[in-house]
Amino acid sequence: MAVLSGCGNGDGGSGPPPGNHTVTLAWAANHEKGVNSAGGGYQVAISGQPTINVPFTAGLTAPTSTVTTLWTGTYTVTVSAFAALDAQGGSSGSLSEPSQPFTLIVP
Amino acid sequence: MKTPLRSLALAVLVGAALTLYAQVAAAPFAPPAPVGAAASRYVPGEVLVKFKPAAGTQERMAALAAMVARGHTVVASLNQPGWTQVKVGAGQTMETALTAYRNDPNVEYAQPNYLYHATAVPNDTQYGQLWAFKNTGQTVTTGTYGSNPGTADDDMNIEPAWGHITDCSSVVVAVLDTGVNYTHQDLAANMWNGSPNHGHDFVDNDNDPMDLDGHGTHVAGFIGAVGNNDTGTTGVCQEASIMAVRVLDDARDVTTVTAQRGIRFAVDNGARVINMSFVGGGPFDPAFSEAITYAQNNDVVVVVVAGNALANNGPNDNDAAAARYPCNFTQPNLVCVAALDQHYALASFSNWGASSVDVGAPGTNILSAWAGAASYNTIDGTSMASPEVAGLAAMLRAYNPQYTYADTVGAIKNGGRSVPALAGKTTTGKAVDVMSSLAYINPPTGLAATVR
Repeated sequence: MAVLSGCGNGDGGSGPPPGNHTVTLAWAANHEKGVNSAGGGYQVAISGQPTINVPFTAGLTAPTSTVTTLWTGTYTVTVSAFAALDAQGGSSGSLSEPSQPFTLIVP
Repeated sequence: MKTPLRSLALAVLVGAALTLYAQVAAAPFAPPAPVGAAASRYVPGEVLVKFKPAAGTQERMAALAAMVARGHTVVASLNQPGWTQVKVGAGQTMETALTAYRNDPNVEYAQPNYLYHATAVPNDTQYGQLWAFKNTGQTVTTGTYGSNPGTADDDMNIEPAWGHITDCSSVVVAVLDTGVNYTHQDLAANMWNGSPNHGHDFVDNDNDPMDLDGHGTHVAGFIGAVGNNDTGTTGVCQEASIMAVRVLDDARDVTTVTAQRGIRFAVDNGARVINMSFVGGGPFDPAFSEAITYAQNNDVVVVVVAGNALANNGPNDNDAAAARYPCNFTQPNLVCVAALDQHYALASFSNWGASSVDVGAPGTNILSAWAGAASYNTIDGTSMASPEVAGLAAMLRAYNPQYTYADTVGAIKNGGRSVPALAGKTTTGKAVDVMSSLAYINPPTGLAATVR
C-alpha cells in the first residue's frame, strides 16, 4: 500500500491551508486490447467519493489519469480496468480486480 | 405539421440521446444482473416494449409519458410495428422495469434486449473427437484411457473465443520436442518460415527438425494444426506460426546443453511462447534455469509439463517428492501444466504440486497429428496438456499485441475455471478456460497521485 502526502507546490513550507485540493491520479496503461478500445477504460474508486469513470475515447490507449478535487483528509484509492468483452464471449462487459490500494493523504 | 404523438416521441428521443450521453460518461460500470433464465445475456438496462395493436394514439402517449415519469428514455423505434427500445432509468432494476411494462394493459410484450454471439465451430473432419475443445460426452473412438466417454462441458471453453480470434500467426510458438512433421497436411501451412525447414535440429546439429517419432508433431498439432480446412483436426490456434526445434533424441531424452541451446535458438529467433513437453527429476539444474531466465528477460512465456510419474510407478507430488524440472523452476514466465481426464478429474498418471504446478488442461485420449503425411494418433500425457496452454498463450498474445509475459501468465492463471480435482494440487486450483482468459483483465498497476 503506497502512501502519499503533502502538496506538490514545491515551496518546501507548510503547504496550502486545509481545504479543497486538486488531485491528479495517474496509473500505468493496461495492455488488454479491450481496455484500450471502444467500451473499455478505467474506474477510479476513492473512499467516500463517487466512482470516477475514465472511458476510452480515441487513440491508442484509454486515458491513464484523472483530475479531481478532494477536501483535506485521508483516502483509499484503487483503479480497476474494464472492457466490453465478457467471459461468455459476448459484450456485456468485464471488470478487473482493483489495483493495490493506495493511501492518499490530502493535507 | 407534426402530430402531438410525433412531437412527444421526438422530444423523448432527443432527451434519450442527452440522457444516454450523460449515462455513458458518468455511470459506474456494473455487470448486469440476471433476468429470467440464468444463462440468458442481454444489454444491461435496455428493454424492448411492444404495444398492443389495439392501443390507440392516446394510450401510446400515456404509456410514453409513464416511461418518462419512471426515468426511462426511448432509444429507438424498431423496424417492426409497435416495438420500442427503452433505456431503463438509473438505479432501477431490469426486473422492476419489465414487471411495470408487463402490467401495462397497453403493452403486449416486454423483454430484455438479449445478446447473441457468433461461434466459430471449425469444419475439420475429426473435430467431433476433440473433447478438449468441445466435450459433448462423446466417445473418443480411438481412445484407450478409461474415462471415455466424459462429462459434457468439461472442456477448454474455446468455441466462444474462436468467435473473436482464430489467427495467432503473429506470435511464433517454439515446440522444443522430437521435431515437427512440417510436411503434415494439417501443419505445413502453419509452420514458421524463419529458417530452412522451419526450425533447427539440436540432436543431429542440422537445420532439418523433421519429426520421425510423432510426439513433437502431436504437440504442435494441438497448438496450431490448421483449422477449418475440412481436414483432420484443429489446434487452439487455427492459424499459427510453429517453430520446430528438435531437442529430444530417438529415446526422447534431452540433455541440459541441448535444452539450453534450443531455448536460446527459439528466443533469439523471435519465439514469444515456448512449449517443452519433457521433464526430469532433480537436483536443481542451474544451467537449465538460466536458460528459462534468458527467456524471461526477453519476454517469452515458457509452458512445461507436470510429469507422468505415476505411470512410471514413481511419486507424483512434485512438492513432496523430488522436484521435477523444468516444472519446479520458479521464474514468473513459466507455467506448469497437469493433465485432466474427460470428467475433469486429475488424470491417473498426472503429477501435481500445490506450489509448483499451476493449472490443469485436458490430457487423456487426445487426438492430434503424428509422424507421416496424413497420420494422427490418440495418446495420453501431461505432454498433451501443456501445448493446449501454449496455444492459449499464443492466442492471448495475438489478441492483445501489447501483452507481456506477465500479462499473459496472469490471464492464463486467473482466467481459468476452478476445478475441485485441482484444489490443493496446483497453485491456482484451476483448469484453463480459453474464453475466460481472453476476457480477463489484469488489475491496473503504478497508481500515483499529485496534490495541489
